[in-house]
Amino acid sequence: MDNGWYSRLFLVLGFVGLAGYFLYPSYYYFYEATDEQRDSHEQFCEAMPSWMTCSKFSLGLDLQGGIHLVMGVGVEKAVEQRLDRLADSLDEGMKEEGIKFTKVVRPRGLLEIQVGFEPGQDRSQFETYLRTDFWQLEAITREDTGYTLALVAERDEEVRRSAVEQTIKSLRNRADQFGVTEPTIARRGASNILIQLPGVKDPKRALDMIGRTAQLEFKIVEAEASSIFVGIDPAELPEGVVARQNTFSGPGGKSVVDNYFELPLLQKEAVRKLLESKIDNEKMIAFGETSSNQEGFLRTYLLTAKAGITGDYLVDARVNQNPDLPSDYHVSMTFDQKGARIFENLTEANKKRNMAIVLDDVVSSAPQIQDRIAGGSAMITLGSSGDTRKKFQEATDLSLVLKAGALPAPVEIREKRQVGKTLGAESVDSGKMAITVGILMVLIFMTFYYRGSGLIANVALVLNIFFVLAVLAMFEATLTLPGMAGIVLTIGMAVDANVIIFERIVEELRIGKTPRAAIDSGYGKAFSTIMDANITTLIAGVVLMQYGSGPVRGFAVTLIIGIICSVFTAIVVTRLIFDFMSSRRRLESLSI
Amino acid sequence: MMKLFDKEPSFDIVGKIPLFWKASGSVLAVCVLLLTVVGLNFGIDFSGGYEIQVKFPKAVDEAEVKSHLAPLGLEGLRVQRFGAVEDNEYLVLVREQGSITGAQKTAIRADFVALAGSEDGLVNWAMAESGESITVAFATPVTEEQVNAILKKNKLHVKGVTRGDRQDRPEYSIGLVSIADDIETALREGTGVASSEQLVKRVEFVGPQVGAELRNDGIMAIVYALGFILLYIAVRFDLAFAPGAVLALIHDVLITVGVFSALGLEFNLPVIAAILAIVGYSLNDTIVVYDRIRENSLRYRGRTLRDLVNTSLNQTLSRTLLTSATTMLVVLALLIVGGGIIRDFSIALTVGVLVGTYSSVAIASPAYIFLRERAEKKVTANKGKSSAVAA
Repeated sequence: MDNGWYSRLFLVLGFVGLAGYFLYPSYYYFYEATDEQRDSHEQFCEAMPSWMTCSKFSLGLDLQGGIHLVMGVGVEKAVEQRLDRLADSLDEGMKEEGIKFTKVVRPRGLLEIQVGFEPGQDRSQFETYLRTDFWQLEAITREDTGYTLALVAERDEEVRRSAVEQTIKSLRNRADQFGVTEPTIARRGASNILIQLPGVKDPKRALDMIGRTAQLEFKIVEAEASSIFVGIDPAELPEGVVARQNTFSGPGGKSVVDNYFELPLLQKEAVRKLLESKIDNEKMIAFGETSSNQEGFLRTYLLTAKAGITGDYLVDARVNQNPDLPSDYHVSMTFDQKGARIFENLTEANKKRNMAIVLDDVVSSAPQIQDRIAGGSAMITLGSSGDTRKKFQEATDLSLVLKAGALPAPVEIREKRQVGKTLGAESVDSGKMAITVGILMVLIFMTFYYRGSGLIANVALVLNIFFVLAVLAMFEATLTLPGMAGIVLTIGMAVDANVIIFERIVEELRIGKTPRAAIDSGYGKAFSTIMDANITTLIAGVVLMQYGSGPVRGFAVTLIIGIICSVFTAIVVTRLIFDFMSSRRRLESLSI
Repeated sequence: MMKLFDKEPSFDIVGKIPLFWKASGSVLAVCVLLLTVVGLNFGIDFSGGYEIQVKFPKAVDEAEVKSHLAPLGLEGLRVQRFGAVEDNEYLVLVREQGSITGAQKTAIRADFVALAGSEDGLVNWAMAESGESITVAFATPVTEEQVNAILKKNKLHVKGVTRGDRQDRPEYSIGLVSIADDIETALREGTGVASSEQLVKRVEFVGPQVGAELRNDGIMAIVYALGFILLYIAVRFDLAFAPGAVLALIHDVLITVGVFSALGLEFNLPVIAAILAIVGYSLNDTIVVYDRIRENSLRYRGRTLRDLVNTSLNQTLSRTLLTSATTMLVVLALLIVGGGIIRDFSIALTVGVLVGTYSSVAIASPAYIFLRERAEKKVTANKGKSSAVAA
């Protein structure tokens, strides 16, 4: 045996060792690990010896169950909001600068701001002001009666991009808070977000939480002004609506009467219409649960239209339990510094009045402000009736959503795939079964057809599968069902290289060469054929990975890894064994 | 030695070329006809819609499942048995978007425009692609009753309507019962499956936008793969080889797709993956034959082109058949024990491996002969012309 043989032997043994090193964590994860270790990556890593890697392959959604979502972000809405804010500051700024104008509006449905001027007015001051203070805007038309402004292209793009990025951040926060292990949340295309939540136990709840807007606002209850409702003729009220009064000690110790209505759910819009016709534009009507928590009934609130403070200033939200009444859960919230100041001023100015906590447009509670609240904390109570467990979950979800922050733009679901856990387990079983049966069939066939040489090819085949799995683990690839099919397919194709070599050897034997010479020229001549054949298949695999999505990619990855490993095992490993055999004794005949 | 052929086979493969062309030509014609007349049964990956996999705890037949779902009046509803009969599993497929069809969507929007008074009066209009929610806003006062009346008129399954709090602008968000919920409820009620028992195993929804994206990506993948492969062969071998290889690939892909059309099998993303695997596999076969032709053309300089190709085909024949056999073994394993989810994928592979083996012998190499002979004729014709001019 020459020196080359030993170095090749060490190369192969080295690879086998490496493969074992990379495969062990995956083996441990799927066969030995406890549930806690499976749920937490840190715990799993700790369970591994320190010199060991903790990269492993993981199972795709189709194999372990879970949710796959593609969400579209309403980026136009974000641009609209930005333009609205710019229009406000432009309006204010021009007034301060003393620039004359007739109007500043953002027409609905258009992504532009229109500024109106008196005809013939000098524009130079406005032009300068626009260039220095509002460089984000550019004039797209300049008419005698006014300008049309739009966001500069880069800014527009940035607003859209940041809306998507913000949404991704919020969604990631929510998924983390919800305790999903290894969620995938990534941008896909210009305005889409791909979300994968593997192994989620309660998909409906997860979906509700992920997709919720979570707009939190605090608004002052205008109880004093509700006296305007006293004059309403009961005959004017829609059917089933009852006028109610509640007297309490308000600001300055004066007694205040809050006039409100209790109504069946159905009459909501009729009541709103009636009441809104009585009040001015700075107030609004909102609805919340009745004090008796009666199913199917609501009560009205008369609120200031403008929010006193919004959830943007929240830094923390957590579930608390009332020590005297264990079934009473509430969510306590903490504002940041600026929010705390606003909240302090708000509570100071509205002492003894009620403040409505409005979540996604519904009044969740309206407690009375007893005193100025410094330090920036507030609370949402969830009522004291109903199923305790359910309420605890509700409180938990609410605190998580609040903490993770509201979404900056509306989202809609564009693609949703939800796979149950049992189906995933079934797929794993049938995938394993297909691989096992496939391997066995090929092993039997090769042994039956090529005898001794077939056994050598079989060693290569088994090593090939070992290597493929190790490479998957090394790259922390996700194994999907099509990916398993890819492995099965590479088994079939892996023996192809050996078939090419063996058929070549047979040809050489037929023209009368000795076994030794036949092996040499067989391998030599087959080499370029094998390379050409596999490189072209590799091209197909790489293209698949580049352009394919989801299941297609999973398939492509295993196909590519399979091709590379199979070329190595079929050429290097089998040759090593042949060389070993022919060096031990003179080969009289070849079992092929 | 146990071999397929005791000695090197010497079939007259090249002599059968006219027969191959006729056979392939007529099969291809049928496939093209099928694709244009019958078309493909696109899965929701490409067409958009819902796919719901349900498993009943007791025996329920297809007609019964259909009868429970009939009252829902679903667009493009299909019910397919999934897996073995005793599994009691079905796939419920609904095309278009969720509970709302394109026509319905237009009708609803028109109604809202009418309610708003003008196109401008409808300040906001958005319908989730899943058909699970609608958002509308009006410039003029509109009551919840008016909105409800429109929803009722259009027969929408409404979960709830909430009004936004802006006074100046009535805004409503309408939650709709998703088609998946409707189907689950109808099946539970119809077959008496308690809500504690699992019925739905998998729900997939693909919106039209994503569907179009997936479709384009799939087509791009196949086009690029063919392009790059053509380039590789042209560089590595000879330009005369490349068209034959690509022709064989198109042949294989068309026939596989044709079989899908003929059997009405679902054409989805995994099937695209299978087709590209076929492209890779068939190419593998073709390259092995081409490689031998190239080798032999250096070795036997005196032989005619047809003789050369025929010898090469014979020399590689046992390898072609053996590889086909081993691949077939694993593909059959996938088909038989791989489970229902990748059944269509496995069928595509099975057809592709068979056709791919055939095409490397019967399409790719004959195309090479054809191209080379044409090129030679041109050369002789040109020679004749130039000598004529000289005279």
